[in-house]
Amino acid sequence: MTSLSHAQALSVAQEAVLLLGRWAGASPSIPTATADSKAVTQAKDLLKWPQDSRSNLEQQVKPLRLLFDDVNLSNGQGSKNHYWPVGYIKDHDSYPPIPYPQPNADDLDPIKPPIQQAIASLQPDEWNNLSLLMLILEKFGSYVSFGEQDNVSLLDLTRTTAAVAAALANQPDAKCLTLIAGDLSGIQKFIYTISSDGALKSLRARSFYLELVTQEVVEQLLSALDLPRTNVIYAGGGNLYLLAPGDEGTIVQNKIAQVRDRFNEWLRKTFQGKIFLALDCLPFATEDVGTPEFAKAWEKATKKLAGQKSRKFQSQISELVKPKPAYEPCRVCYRDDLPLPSLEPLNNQEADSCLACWMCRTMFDLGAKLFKVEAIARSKQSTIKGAQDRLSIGGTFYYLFEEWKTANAIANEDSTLFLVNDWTLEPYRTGNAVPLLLGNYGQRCPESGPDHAQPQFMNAREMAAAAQGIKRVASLRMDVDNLGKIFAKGLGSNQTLPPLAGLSRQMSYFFKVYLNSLAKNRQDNLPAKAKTLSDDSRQNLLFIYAGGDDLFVSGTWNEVVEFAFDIYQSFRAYTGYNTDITLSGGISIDGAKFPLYQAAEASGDSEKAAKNNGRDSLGLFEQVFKWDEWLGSTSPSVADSDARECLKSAEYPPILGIFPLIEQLEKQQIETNYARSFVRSLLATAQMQDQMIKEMENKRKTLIHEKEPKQYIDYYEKEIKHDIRYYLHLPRMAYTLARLPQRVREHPEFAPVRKSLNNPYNAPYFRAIATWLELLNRSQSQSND
Amino acid sequence: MDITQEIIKKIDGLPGTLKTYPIRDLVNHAEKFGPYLKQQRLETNQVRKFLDAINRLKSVLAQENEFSKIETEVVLLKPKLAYAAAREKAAKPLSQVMSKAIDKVRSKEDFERLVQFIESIIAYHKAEGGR
Ligand SMILES: [Zn+2]
Repeated sequence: MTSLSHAQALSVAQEAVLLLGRWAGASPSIPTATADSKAVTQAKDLLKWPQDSRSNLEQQVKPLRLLFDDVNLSNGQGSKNHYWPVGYIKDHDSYPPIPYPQPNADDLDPIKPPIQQAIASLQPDEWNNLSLLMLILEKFGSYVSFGEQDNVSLLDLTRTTAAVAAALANQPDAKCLTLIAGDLSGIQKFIYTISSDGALKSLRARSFYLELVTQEVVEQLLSALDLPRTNVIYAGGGNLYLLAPGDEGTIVQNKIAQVRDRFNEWLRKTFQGKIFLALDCLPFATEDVGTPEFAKAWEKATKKLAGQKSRKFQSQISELVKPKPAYEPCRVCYRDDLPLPSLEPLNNQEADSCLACWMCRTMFDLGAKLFKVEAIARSKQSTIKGAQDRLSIGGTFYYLFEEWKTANAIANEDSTLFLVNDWTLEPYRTGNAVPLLLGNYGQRCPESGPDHAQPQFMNAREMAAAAQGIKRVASLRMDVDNLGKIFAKGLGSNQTLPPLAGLSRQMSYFFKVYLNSLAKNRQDNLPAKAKTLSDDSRQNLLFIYAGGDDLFVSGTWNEVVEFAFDIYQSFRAYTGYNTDITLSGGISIDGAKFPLYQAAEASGDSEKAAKNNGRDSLGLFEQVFKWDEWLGSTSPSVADSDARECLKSAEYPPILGIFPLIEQLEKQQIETNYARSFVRSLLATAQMQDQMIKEMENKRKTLIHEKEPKQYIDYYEKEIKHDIRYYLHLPRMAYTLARLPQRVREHPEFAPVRKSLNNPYNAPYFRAIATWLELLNRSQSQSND
Repeated sequence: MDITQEIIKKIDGLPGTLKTYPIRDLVNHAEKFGPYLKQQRLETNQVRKFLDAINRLKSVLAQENEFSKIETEVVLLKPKLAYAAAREKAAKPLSQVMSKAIDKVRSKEDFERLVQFIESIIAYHKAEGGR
């Protein structure tokens, strides 16, 4: 029994798979090949699906040009052109290799045989399995283009055409469609505002749980509106966008409001008002899906949510302000609305475990099991045997399984099976399985307990112990700069539904799929010419969240730092080095016992500082620089024109930037004693420099306050501030370098290092260099917290 | 023109008191002057009294925060240098340059610039192997 909207989506998917098959040389017979319905014809017309006669269509399958090349906010790519390399996502490839764009298009023939094989093997009834067909398109059609726009993938054109056709199913001539936008607010609070031992794995469980909450909102909307999954334009990290039919007589709107209110009622009960679902919809003209007007609708729908958030819980306000008795708070999340008997030990394996509420206990348990979750069955049924665990979300149950086979055997027809990062066709052949992509890399414990218990993620203590130098852990937060602007107007006249869907998918693929690959297989996934400090595989990391356009990763401090540089370089290569698509990040380095919510806050502040530094920056060691300055470049990027003037007489140093200088200094193999005193004087120099800059800053403020003549103030600002930053501490640096042992000083490789450190262009980096070396070389005995 | 003369000319030509001596020029001069002094075989103990006096004035100024408290003492730095230069030929260039600079010290900021100058010279001198 397939509803009309599902049937439209299915027929578009069938056609796409069929033509991909024919292109690859397979000639499957499709049981339900009929003429297009009116809705499908309309959708194809609106989104410029090639109109050629069917038998010629496969000639329109071509190499996919890089969509990121067309993003232009202020800098853009000019006329640079990149292509995705030929490829597809293989079975059993939980960590598919990151594709990096290249200047020339590959010959597509090598991917024909596997496509042919996959499609030829389809059984007649499998042609009606929409999610199986979509998975085939996702595996094989993500990086080939189809149609007149050579930067739109076959997958995205199919998905969006199917979505529009489904939305038009009941009314092919509808003048209007609806864009639904949703946003869970308060996520940050739920994830990070907790304090307890074992927080790391709890945090991860919390973010995973919220991913399922987002998923559940999507499921409820799809079922309330009777829409196929193709109509989800984007869902992840608490955000969602769906395409729905036009709304005559506010039917859609009412259905959405119902879902929202029911969900918020559940959220209020479960999270005491900390999490709120904003969900709204925006009608827009049907033809806009094929014009840049669509981006405006997208932006408007997003803005509408802000209004809802500000009226948060309006309908439930009376419930919230009712006086309630306050009880002993949960020691993990501090909720105090539960009478004491409902608090129980967080970890019943430990005698002195703190008392926690049921939610915190559930999250703690989930954290331990998450490592092995392969499949999740969503069901209305309140019991399914054989599952590891059950979570209740918004009135539905989510059953966790270690293996898809067990899940598949148990799940019934009404249930949906989510398969975590699984690209194998097999499990999708029967039942109602859909992929769930998750940025979920996590390093296991070296040994899993004394009794070889189930594998565990490394905890903060173990992470710290694995560190080089100082025994610390680090938290890294990063997100894409100007994402809203990119989506609102980055593509200019190209800003129609299919490219937007492509943009959003490729962004979120990076964080959900490829980031796992980069973490797990470092050497195989770094872009060519990436700068690295060590060859270490740096696997001691734990993803707490990665998806959409952002991430939060914890781990061994030096490996997190290296990972941050890897991510940046990988992301830039992945997006074709478009200067309008950058990342900013912040890192906080702390002791293993430092509360994680504070580390999350500190790395968040650091990220904010990076955004304030004109974006494209990293905050690390309480310093903020452009990534270029950290990574080093051949020509200095001095933004301030006065500083440029001040530096104009200076030569460029042979080595410029923090990262390459650290690399060179580490290479010198300076004896421990010398290294220690070198780092100490470097640090002292840097501290004096900071102190001096601060004093001058204060002095300038005093002068402004005392209304001194502008000329005098300007003098301070220009001459002194820049001269101090770039020049004043060069003599001390020269002296510090001169005290290194003769063997080091006279080594030919040291000459450029010395020259570079004595150069004003590197002077702003003294503190970052000193701090980094200090942490790397701190011996164990010195590093007690 | 040798470096001693170059610095003297620069200080002479400053638009105002010593604080108008740009740090950038000061450092660039010190970078040449330090090694030059080393080449002249100057050892810091030959100007020890002068350096001690500078350090003492620095700490007085840090405590009192008022230039008038050290004003007279600053002037007395010159005879200390002249004495050193008379005893050791190697101290002469430093004496010449410093005297010029001291003549332009009228305020706290000027004195601070003087200290930056001498510290930079000594750092480059030591970096060159001077003691
Ligand atoms: Zn709790």
